[in-house]
Amino acid sequence: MIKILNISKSFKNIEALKDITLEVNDGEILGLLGENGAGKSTLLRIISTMLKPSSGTALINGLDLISNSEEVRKNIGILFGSEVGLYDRLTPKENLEYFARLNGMSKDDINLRIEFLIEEFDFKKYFQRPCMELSKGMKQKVAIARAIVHNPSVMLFDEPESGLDFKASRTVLEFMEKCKLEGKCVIFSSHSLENIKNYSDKIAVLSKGQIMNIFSVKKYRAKYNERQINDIILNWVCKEDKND
Amino acid sequence: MIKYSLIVFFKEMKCIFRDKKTFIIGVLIPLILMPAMIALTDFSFNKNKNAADNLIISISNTDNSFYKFCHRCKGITVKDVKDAPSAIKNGEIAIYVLIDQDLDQKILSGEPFKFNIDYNQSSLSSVAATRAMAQYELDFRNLVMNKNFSSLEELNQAISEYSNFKTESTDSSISNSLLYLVLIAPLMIMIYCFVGSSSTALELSTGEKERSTWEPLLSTGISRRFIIVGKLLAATFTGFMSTLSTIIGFLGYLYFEGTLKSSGISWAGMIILIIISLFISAFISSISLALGIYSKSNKEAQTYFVPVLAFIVAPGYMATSMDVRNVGLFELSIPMLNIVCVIKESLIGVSNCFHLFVVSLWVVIYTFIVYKIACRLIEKESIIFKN
Repeated sequence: MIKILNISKSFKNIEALKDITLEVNDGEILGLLGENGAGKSTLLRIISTMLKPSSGTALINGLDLISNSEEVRKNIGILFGSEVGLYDRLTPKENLEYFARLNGMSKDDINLRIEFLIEEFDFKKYFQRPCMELSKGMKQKVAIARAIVHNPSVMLFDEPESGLDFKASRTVLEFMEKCKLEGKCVIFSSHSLENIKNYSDKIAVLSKGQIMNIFSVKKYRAKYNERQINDIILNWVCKEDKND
Repeated sequence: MIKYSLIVFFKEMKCIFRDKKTFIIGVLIPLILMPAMIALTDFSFNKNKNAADNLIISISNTDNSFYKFCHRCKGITVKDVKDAPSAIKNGEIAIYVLIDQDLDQKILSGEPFKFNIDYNQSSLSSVAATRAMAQYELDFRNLVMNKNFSSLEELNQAISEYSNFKTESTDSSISNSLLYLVLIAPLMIMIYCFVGSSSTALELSTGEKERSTWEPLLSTGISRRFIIVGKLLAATFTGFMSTLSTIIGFLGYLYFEGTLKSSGISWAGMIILIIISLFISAFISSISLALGIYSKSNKEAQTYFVPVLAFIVAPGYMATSMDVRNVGLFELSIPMLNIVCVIKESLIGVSNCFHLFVVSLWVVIYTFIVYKIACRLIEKESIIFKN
């Protein structure tokens, strides 16, 4: 479970995030939608402890991300869409083992987990080949497996489908849904309105570092048709200021 | 801490050794570079020695006893040239000897006489020839001075009695090349340590950023200090391997050439050389790693590394011309200068454990300071997300 409490973040004179407060429960997907520079990646990086908030804090499974950042990281899996970020000279197995060991897993647990991931992602054929010999789609699968090798309860996806073809993009999005079914708490950011609508339970619309609105997709779908929902969302995305 | 740092270390070593280029550049080339350099140096010195043993000269006046003396010496070929300065420049002759026109009269009357030698200062062969010529000149003076010759015939007779006379060159190619290597070997060892450590350390830091593995790595549940220590160990080990290969190549050549014993390098010296190369590797690795963490790409890191390299090498270069037997504690505290001093000591057969201890201590201190800087850098958001 993620609880974000009044988080703000400034870079020199630029306010990247302004007083963000939101909550994501276990077994729930929150979609972050916004233009470039809206603050989506900054928010995800703060949750993953890569950036420190200027003010406010967040609780990840009850752990404070400022005072307990190393423990928080063990509870989080991150996937960056545009780059797979694998060690080319290592095999998929070695890549997974490396990250599992860095996350403090025991040898037995690593073996069991890797066995499971081989089955899950159908890796067998290319598990012993160096990553440099794999196709982009295969690498993407390995990257997903790497992100969850330590079985984190919180998953963060930063534009996971960007730069991927249709098939690879679908693999990532379906995997995200699977995480939700397993009871994991998921936040993902995207530029794709369709993907956000189809895969999220809740959508947070960000504009210039502020949350313009958070709403339940299910509730909106009961009230409006798809076109109306798109119009409403676009209206928030393009709003200059919350008070306009 | 050790556990996680070792995980990073072993992973990095696996990646490094899967790349054949790393093995070739880091181990094979340093192994053959020093023997190749010594062989080339020997070849060059032998060439100069030949020039000294077979002197080709020209003499300003031909009708005198010195001209006859030179003709009778086996190691000298006298050539008559029209334009002596051009002949020296073209390498047609090694030296041109200007002697007094009335040389024989001066000898007979017991007056002092002069020899002026023209040579090409930019040619090593010509320089070597002047040393040999000086020896011939000395021999000639010993032969004719204070002998109270009563006539020219008597003088010519004295010279003809020495017709088989041959001056042995005092040049020894082996001692010259060894002397040369004692001067350049510390610098070569240091440079190869730089190449091995810095290229690996930069690759281990900026390479992560360029492959986009940096963020996933930093978002794992371990402290970033462990990552730095692991990478530092890997870069140090690679640099140490390169340096060790250089030392093995150097000592191996001397051993097979049969000059290892005469070179004065003792077992203790060799051990000191190996220990000190480990410390240099650690120091250079820490600097390169900090630069790599600070930079967003390898290209940017290289830009910073060039002036840093010059700044570090300068004191080391200074030490190559120092007499290491007179170094004090101040010199032993200056990075790189202190290391080159200890390397030189071990190469000339001086095994000073106190110097080794002082230098090691300083290198550990410098490495620790740079490590702390790297730890600060890796925590800075503005540096992690520089791009």
